[in-house]
Parts: sequence; C-alpha cells; structure tokens
Amino acid sequence: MSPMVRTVTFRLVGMVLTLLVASLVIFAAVYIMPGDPAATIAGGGRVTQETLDSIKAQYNLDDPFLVRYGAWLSGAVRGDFGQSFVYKSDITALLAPRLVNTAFLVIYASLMIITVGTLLGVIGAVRGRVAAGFVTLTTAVGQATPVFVAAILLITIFAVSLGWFPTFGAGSGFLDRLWHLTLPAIALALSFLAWTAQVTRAAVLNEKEKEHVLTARSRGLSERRIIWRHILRNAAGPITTVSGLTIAGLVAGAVIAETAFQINGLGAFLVEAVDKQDIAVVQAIVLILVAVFVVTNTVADAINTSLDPRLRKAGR
Amino acid sequence: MPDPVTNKQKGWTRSRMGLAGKRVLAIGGFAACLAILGCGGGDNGSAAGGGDIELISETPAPAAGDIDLVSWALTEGEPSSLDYAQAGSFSPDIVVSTLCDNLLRMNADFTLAPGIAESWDQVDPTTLVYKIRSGVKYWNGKTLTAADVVYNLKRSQDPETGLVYSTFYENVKSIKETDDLEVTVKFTKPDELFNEEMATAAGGIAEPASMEKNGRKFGTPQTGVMCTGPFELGSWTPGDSITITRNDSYWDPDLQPNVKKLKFNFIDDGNTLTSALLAGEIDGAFNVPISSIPALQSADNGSLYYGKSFMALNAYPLKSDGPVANKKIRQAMKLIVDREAIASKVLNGAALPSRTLVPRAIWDSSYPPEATKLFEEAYEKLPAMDTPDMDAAKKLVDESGEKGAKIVFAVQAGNPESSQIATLLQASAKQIGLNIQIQKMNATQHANLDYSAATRKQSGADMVLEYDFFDIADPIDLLPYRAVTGGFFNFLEYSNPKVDKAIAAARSNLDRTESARQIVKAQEIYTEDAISLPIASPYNVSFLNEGITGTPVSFSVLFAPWAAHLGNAK
Repeated sequence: MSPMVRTVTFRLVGMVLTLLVASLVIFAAVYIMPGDPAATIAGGGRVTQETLDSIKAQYNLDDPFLVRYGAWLSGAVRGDFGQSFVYKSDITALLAPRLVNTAFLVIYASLMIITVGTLLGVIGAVRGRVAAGFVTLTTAVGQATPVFVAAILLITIFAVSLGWFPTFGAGSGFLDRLWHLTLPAIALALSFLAWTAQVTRAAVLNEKEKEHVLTARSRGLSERRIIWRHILRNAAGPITTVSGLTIAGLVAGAVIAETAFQINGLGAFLVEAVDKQDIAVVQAIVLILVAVFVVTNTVADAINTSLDPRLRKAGR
Repeated sequence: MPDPVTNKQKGWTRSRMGLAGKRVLAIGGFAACLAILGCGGGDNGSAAGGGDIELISETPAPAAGDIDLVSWALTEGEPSSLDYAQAGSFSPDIVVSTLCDNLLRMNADFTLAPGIAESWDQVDPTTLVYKIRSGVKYWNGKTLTAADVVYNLKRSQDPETGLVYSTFYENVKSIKETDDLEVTVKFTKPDELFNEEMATAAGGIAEPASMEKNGRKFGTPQTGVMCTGPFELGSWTPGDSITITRNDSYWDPDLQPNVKKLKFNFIDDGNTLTSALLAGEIDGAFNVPISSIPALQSADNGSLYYGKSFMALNAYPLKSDGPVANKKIRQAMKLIVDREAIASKVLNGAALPSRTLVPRAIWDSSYPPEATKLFEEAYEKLPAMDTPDMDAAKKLVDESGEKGAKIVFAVQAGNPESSQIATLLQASAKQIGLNIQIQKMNATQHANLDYSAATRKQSGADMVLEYDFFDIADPIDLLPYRAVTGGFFNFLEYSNPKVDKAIAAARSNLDRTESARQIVKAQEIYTEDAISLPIASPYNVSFLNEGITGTPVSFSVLFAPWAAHLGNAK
C-alpha cells in the first residue's frame, strides 16, 4: 500500500470512528437522565397514558439499548431522524429549510473570514508600520467582540438607524438571503476574522524572512508574485488549520447569530428543542453539527498535508 | 359599548389611575427580558413617582379601506399546534382566535356575545340550549351543522383530545343535537362557569371531517386546520412564519376584515422585537416583553397600548410538608415582598401590586355592577402590603418555630423579572431569618412543576414563582384548582371546609352577584391563610405601528377574532 493511500485510509477510519463514538454519546445522553425516558420525551404538561404508550412505541423504549441505538443510527445515516415530539412532524422535513439557512450563513461568513481575514493579515505583514498598527488594533477589537454584542451594534446602526439591512429573518431566494444574512454573517465572522488575520500576519511575517524569499527578491521577482507564490504557499499551513477550526466553530457560533437575528436555522432550532425537551430533534441536530465539525477538520488536515511535503513524509 | 378613550402613552405622561367605571390605561407586560426604568404603578390613584397608566380595551376604530399585508410578531415564539384544544398559551391562542370561531364570542370588555351560537338560553338551572347560526360555512365551502357543534364539544370534553379545556366540562351530563340547528347541554348540577368558557377555545369549533382524517396531526404545519373564522390559514413555514388570509365569505357582516393578509413572525427575542418594531418591519405585537417597554415608549412610528390581563404573578407552595406548610412562615413571606418596587421598577410599571391570588382585572370587568362593588369592598378590606413590614414578619418567623429554615424557590430561567423578584425576596428573607435558595429551571421543567409529581420531587422546590393564567373574567376558572381540597394544583394540600363550601356554592349559583358573594367569602379566608404569595397582576402590553389601528388590546385577543378589527389608521 502506497504511503498516500495508507494516509487517506487512516484518516477516513479515524473520522468514522470519531463519528461513531460521538453518535453513541449523543444517543445515550437522553437515557442517562433520571426518570422515565417516556415522560422526559413527552416534556410534561398533562400527559395521558395514550401519549406515553405512543412514545414507547415510537422510540422502541422496551428494546435493549444497543438495538435502539442501531435503529436510530441506521435511520440517521439514511436521513431519517424520526418524528419531533413537539411538532409531531418528520424531523428531516423540519431540518431541511433550516439547514439551508445555516449553511448559507456559515458559508457566507467563511468567505468573509477567508478573504478579508487573509487580506488583512497580509496587509498587516507586508505594508509597513501604519498598516500593521491599524490591523493589530482592529483585530484586537474584533476578537474581543462577542457575537451578540456585534449583532446588537450592527442591528442598531445599520438596520434600525440607517435602514440599509433588515432587522431579522433569513429571507428567501438567493439575493434576498444575501441581503438578510449580511449583518448576521458579519457579526458571526468578526472574531474569527480577527483571529485569521492575526495568524496570517504572523505566518507571513515568518515566511518573509526566509531565505527562499530573499533569494526570490534578489532575483528581481515582482512583489506580488513573491507574496502569492512563495510566501502564502508556505504560510498556507497555519492558515488552513485555522480556517478548518474556524469553519467548524462557526457552526456553533451560528447559534447565537441565529438567535440574535431570529434566523430560522439549525442553531436557533437547537436552542428551542433543548428548551422544549424535544429530544429527537436535539439528537439529530447535535449529530449533524458534530459530523460537520469532524469532516471539516479532517478535510483541513488533508489539505494541510497535501500542501506541505514535510507532513506527507512524516506519514501523518 | 361606550367609545374607547385612548390615551396613548408617549413619554411619561401622568394620568390618574381611576376605579372601575373610568377607563383606565394599564401597562401590562410579562414574558422574558430585563427590567430597566421604572414607572409608577401604584393602585387606586396613589401614584408613587412616574406616570400612572390607563387601561383600554380596544384601540380607536380604523378608517375604511383594505390593507394588503400586516406583519405581526408572536413574542413567545412558534406555536407547536393550531388545534384549538391544545391552545393554552399566548402564541397558539393569538393565531387560533383569528382562524377558528368559538361557540360564543368574547367582547373586548369580556362580556359575552353570540358566535357560532346565535343565542343561548338557560331554560332551567341544569339545561343550556344553544341555537346554532345557519349558513355558517367552513373555508372549504361546507356548511356547519349542529352535529358538528356536538362533535366539537364532545371532543373538548374528552380528556384524551381536550387537552387544555376538558376540566371545564366536568359537570356536563350530556351534549345532544335536539333540533335542526339546536344543541342542548345538560349538567349534573348548576354550573355558572361553562357558558362563559364557551367564548374561549374551550368552545372551539372546527370541521369534524378534517379532525377525523388527520387525527393527532390536526393543527400541524402539514395538515393545518379547517375552521369558519374571518381568516384562513394561508401557509405555515415551520420556524419562520404563519400567514393567514382574509375569508371573503365570513358569516358576520359586521366583522368583515380589512386586512387581506397577515403574517405572524416568530420573534421571542426582546431585542430583535424592539429593533423590528422600531424599524417598521413588524407592524404590531401583543405581550411585549418588559425590557422593550422603555425603547418602545419613545418610538416615533407607533405607540404602546395597555389592556387588562388575566395573568397573575404569584408564588405557590409545591409541598405539603417542610417550612412552607407552616402558615406563619407563609404569612411572613407575604409581608416581606416590596410589591410597590417590584411593580414600578422590576415590571416597568406594567403591573398592579396585588393583595390576593385573583387579579383585579378578573372581577373588575364583566361582572354586574353590584358584584364588582362586592369584590371592590372585599379587596379594600384585605391588608395592602404594598411595602414590606419587616417587624411583623420577623415576629411571625420567631413564632413559627422554624427560624433559619431553608426554602427552595423555583423560578423560570431566562425570565429576568422572575430572577430579580426572587433575589429581592431572598435578601429580605435573610433579614427575618429565612434562608431562600433560588433554583432556576428551564421553561419546560418550570411549567412541569404544576403537572408532574416526578418533576416536583426531582427538583425538591418548596415554592414556585409563576404566572397564573385565567381564561375568563371569573375567578372560578382557576380558583378551585388552587384553593379547594384536592384541587389539581393544591400541592399544599390546603383544606378548609368553609372555603370548599363557598367555592362550590359560587360555581353552582347562576346569579353572578350571589356567586361573587360566595367568592369573597372564600377569598377572605384563603388570603388570610396565605395559600399563595401574591405579587402583582401584570397588564397586557401591545405595540401598534401608527399606520394601523382597531384591534382590541385586552386579554380577549386570545380568544376573540381581533385581527378582523384591524385597519388603516385615520
């Protein structure tokens, strides 16, 4: 087996194992809670015996644990997460529109982070004292600003006072969504953007002093070409790692942004499901978020390895 | 019905808080958010700083002409069902009231009016005959029949399907179609409560065929509902919005909607709601959070309106043992609550300090004048307790023999007013030798305390702070559950034969004034016995964009087709 194939297989197996363990924990968590699982799922209120019986039937509560887990997991893999107890509807149908909104928001924010963050970082590294100072200051402020504070400021200034953007909602259709989700994406992106800029700046500064760059410069290559081909290519390692973790972290941060802007997304739905004790929905969303996190990090790792031969050789 | 006088609250205008008979604007609010500024909330005209607020039942009548779209906000988030039999809280009730008619209709001032039934007749103390209106059509064009009414009432009577309201049918012996458009309800004993409850979702009417076909899924986003109301269910996008559209064949010629389309957005975050209202993206909302009041007060694109609410902010014992079982401890705790400060500061003036379990609005509304007078006199006799009496409280604790006792006090997490009130109580209790431990619970668990013994046991809480929810202007709607021996929510296991007798007599006396006489008799006893820790009665706070008007703003909006009154401001 070639080292390349071995690495890839190793990675994939690791990813699947992580997901399996996570899914087991997610599934088991409900049944660890004290009391009758049926009553927990029912969420209380005036619960009739008929309701408790129908819960027992739907969730197969009389079957052994591993059987139930297997049933749930095999369903989840096929995209069937069962029924929401609160809304009495198919969970996949409830999640689909919300997934679209969250994905749009997260991708939008990611693009901002990657482009603006990297750009700021590069500027801060190659452009001289004033630029460096500016970038350092703004990134410090950006990193210190929590998502909900940013949200309130953005809404107050750009939505209520200036009226340039809507105050809430996700909109429908591509352009409408773009308009609605701009402020939330900025709020979400702010601290990660700052972090990315700082890491980029440090990495670029590091590369700038390397011999191969000095050689390229003495050879008369244009500054733009030096930055693009020689500096960034090597600085890409840390930047990619940060980006991978960031995108994954964005999914979690989306919970706050969605709540602040009343966006109908997975994050807001998760909060609501926890509050209403809609167990099946919580399990489904957590599984999806964990899966996204694991897959994203694996991919980021893989890109990193492919960019840096040194890591490839080490067989990571 | 007299013309409503609107004194819109702009800035901190001062106006005298009058008694029943004068129209009074009241600020009401509850639901989550931070309390910031205070506004005087003294009762009976004694204002302690800030402005008193006047209560109104409805906003001024609109001009003629259609409105294409009105955007509304449901401040408690998305309803989980639009089945009237499951609608027991703000979000579902406000939507269902525009879609499904009830057997009778509740006016903005809580008096009864014809609905699906065009008349009702108490032929003898245990027989009610309803004449069903002819020519009422469901949205699908089918005609409503008396058999349909019987089906719906029976469905609400059955605890398996009538999840929220079945207990109001407990004295019903039979429900029968006795003529072409006539339904007769017979009772095992006289019951003054039933007919009034028919103006709430307890008397909700929907098409039996659709309920049969959809079973438990009736009222979900996939199946919707089939009713007769002034608006039809247009669409329900889960997590996003519910849109209702005008029913051009509504049976009531006096209540044809001006609004063609109304979109309910689910906005349970106070900040988002405030921003959306100020930006004009949302045209109106009921049940505005307390924290939003100051910002909306100074809005230049709309106004806050205040209406009577049947909510009551009380604390109740959850156990029949431990320190709260000791009457002197409960009486002492009653004395240390600074109701004046809570009403004016914590609740932003959006509430009245209360002296007893039943809020003022319940008896100060649709009872006949002699009955209201009885209630008023009885209320005046109760000790005021607007400001604390620490000395008397300390004495009671010393006498109780349980000085230093620990009391676990449960509040709803995420509701800052509750937390603030609990914290204030904790500090005061310390001074008199009681150790209060605050326990924050999530909304579902907190609600479960009233319904699940397992939850009560697991939490171990001695008392819970909650908003009591009366449906109608009648104490008997809720009182028996709290004060009568074996009452569903009577966890204290309070038992006083005089109270039992008086409340039973009140329920079975069809003369409302005599009924009132019995209620005040019971009230005097159970208030003295401190079965509850009354704090304040909130008002119903609403916000309307200056472009629209007409809707009622009292608690009636939960059960009466308020949206049909909306129209362009003049």
